[in-house]
Amino acid sequence: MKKGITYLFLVFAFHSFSAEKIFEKADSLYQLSDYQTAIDQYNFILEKGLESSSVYYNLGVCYFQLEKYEKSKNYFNKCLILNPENTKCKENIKLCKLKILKKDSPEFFYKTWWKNYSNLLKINNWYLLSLFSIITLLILTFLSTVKKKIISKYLFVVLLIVNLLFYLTIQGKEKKNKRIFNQDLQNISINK
Amino acid sequence: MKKLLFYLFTLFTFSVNAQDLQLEVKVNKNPALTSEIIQLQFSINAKGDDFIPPPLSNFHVLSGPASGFNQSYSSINGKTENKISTTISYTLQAKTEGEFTISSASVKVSGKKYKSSPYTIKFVKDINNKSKQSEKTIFISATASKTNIFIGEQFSVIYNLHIKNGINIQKSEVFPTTFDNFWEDGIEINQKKNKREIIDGIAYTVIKYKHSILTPQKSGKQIVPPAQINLSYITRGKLRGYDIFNRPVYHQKITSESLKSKSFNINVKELPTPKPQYFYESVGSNFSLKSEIDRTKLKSGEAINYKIILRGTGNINLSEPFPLGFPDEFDVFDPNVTNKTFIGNKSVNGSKIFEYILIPRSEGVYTIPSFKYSYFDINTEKYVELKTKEYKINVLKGDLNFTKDSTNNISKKNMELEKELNFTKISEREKWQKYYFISFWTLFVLLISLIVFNIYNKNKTINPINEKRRKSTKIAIKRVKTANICIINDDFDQFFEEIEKSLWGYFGQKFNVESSKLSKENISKYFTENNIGKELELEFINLIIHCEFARYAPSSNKNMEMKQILNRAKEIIIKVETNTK
Repeated sequence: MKKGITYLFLVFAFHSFSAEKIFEKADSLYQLSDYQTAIDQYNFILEKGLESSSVYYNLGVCYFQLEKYEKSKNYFNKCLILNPENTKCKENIKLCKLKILKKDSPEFFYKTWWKNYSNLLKINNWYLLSLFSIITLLILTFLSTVKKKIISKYLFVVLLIVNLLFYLTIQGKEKKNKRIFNQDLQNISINK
Repeated sequence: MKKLLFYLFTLFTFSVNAQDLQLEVKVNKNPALTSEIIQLQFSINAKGDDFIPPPLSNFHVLSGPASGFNQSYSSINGKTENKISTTISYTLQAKTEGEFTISSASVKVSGKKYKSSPYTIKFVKDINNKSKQSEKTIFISATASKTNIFIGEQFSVIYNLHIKNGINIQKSEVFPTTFDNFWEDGIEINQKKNKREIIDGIAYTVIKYKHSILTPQKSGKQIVPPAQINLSYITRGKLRGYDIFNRPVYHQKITSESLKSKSFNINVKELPTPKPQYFYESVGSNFSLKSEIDRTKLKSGEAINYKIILRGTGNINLSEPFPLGFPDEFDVFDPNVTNKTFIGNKSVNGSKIFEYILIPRSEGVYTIPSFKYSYFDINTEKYVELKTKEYKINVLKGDLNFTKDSTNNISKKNMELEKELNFTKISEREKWQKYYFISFWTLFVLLISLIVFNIYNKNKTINPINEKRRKSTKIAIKRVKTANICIINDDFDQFFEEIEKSLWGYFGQKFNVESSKLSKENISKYFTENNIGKELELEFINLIIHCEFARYAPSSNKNMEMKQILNRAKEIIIKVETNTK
């Protein structure tokens, strides 16, 4: 009995530490077109607190095969958050939309501008950019207190506005990401 | 203009009033037995007078007319409502059996006459045969609207529960009825609407508890199964005795009974042959077919929204998407079906919408042909053919990569798993976010404080006079600090000494005079040297002299004087400080 428990423990430990193995297992399950089990495997990785754009992408693909396009689209969106340059993912979102029969409602031009602009960088790079710019500004102001007139007033104001813009961009992105990630939580709770 | 508005206004209010008011007639029992006493009531939601009663010669008027006036105020969420109602009631009994019409009565409300609509009451002869009554106290009846029908033709079945008046039902258990070989659509039943019915001289309350629309799925003789309800109700048992008002009291007897309605047969006929080519088992009446398209001019790879709307009465909710022949160059997705049907009393009505998404793969001019759909009309017992419109679609060359490939192929190509192993912790993402916000805000606060500091510094240099005044006040306060303590301690002698000391000390430090050379002559010398006014010099010397005297000649009001001197000393130091360069 005791031995059994230790074995169980070992197996469990083994499982929990090899996300790569699970990932590959899910892949082989997918090739056998057992999509639901593959999804369970990917979810297991997520439950362990690990994520990657490819996990989300693959979940999206699995749900697409199960013809759950709404969910599929959701996962592709998540993938896009982690990896905004994934063109395949973008195409797949379009496909999902076609399947759901959801047309893109015409957006105001500034909205598309804003979207394109905020998708220029990954969120982590946005963080860095914003912090970098505010530190520069800080140094400049500090220097201007020690030695007068290093930067002109107007330049200072422009820099400040740029900083705030970065901040707002990040906040907007955060909000959107949170919404997308929470959407899935709701879906899961409904399924259960 | 004003007059016109006024007229309009009065007209409006009047019309509202006229719409709202109505003289209503109510009878508590209809149909009624000849032995029963009924209540007839006229009511209007206003204060009415001049009530003209209808002729009631067919009835025994046992009491009435009794008029009542009711007024109530209610205030809900700050909305005050005033409800007024006038009722005139009669107690009547019929003389003979038959149908009697109570012709209209009228009432006057603020000068206007309101008439009630005529009301018919049915009276049925009472049978005083008690033995017969005990047989049927509760029973279920089942009625079908049709018994001889075609496959797919809808009919309704209603189950009614009849309860004799005066029976008190304690418990009920309704067994669900299932209909084999029928498709059932249930109707929600308004439980509050109970009818009254008289059968064989006994008054019953009729409760409709099940109303279903059935669609037969198989031909031949089909059985509509009986409905079953288990009920327990209270009846009067043996006499127990008399209460204090000398009324008889009976034992209560609880009877439980299992009720079953009769089952009956429905004759289901086959539809006549030959069936037309485009017949998809739709049976009913007033069917119509419509098609809609959102655009006829587009680029290849873009989507067309094509809708087919089937409308009618009958088994429309069972209709499935039927095969359509779209051009081969179109990618067709499975249609999205919206069911907009509702259940009527005898059949199902409404429409069903099949929404197709079509994506032309290559350029050219295509036609979406007209589609045919046949149904069997029940009224004429013939097949009817319906048609949709034909559409010409002009497809231009598109710039999407969907052009040569079907979306299905694209999806197959795209639906391959990614195999990159680049796991990160989910918590990491949140950590980043947290760190970012914390560091951003700290930096931001730092920045703002730096800016504020800068602005503050600038202000200092801008206004030198103010700045000087501020500095000298500081010095003065420092100087008279010890003197201030003396005031608090009420030490009169010490105070003047301190003031003198502080003034001399200030002077010595200010002009770098050694303590041995401190004298009044030196004061005037240094003051003129530094271009400080004569007045100030005088004041300074006066204060020192004053302090010297005050030590030996205390005045009556010590406290007041001390404060005055302190202020003067402060003021002088400030002035001297600001006037020197």
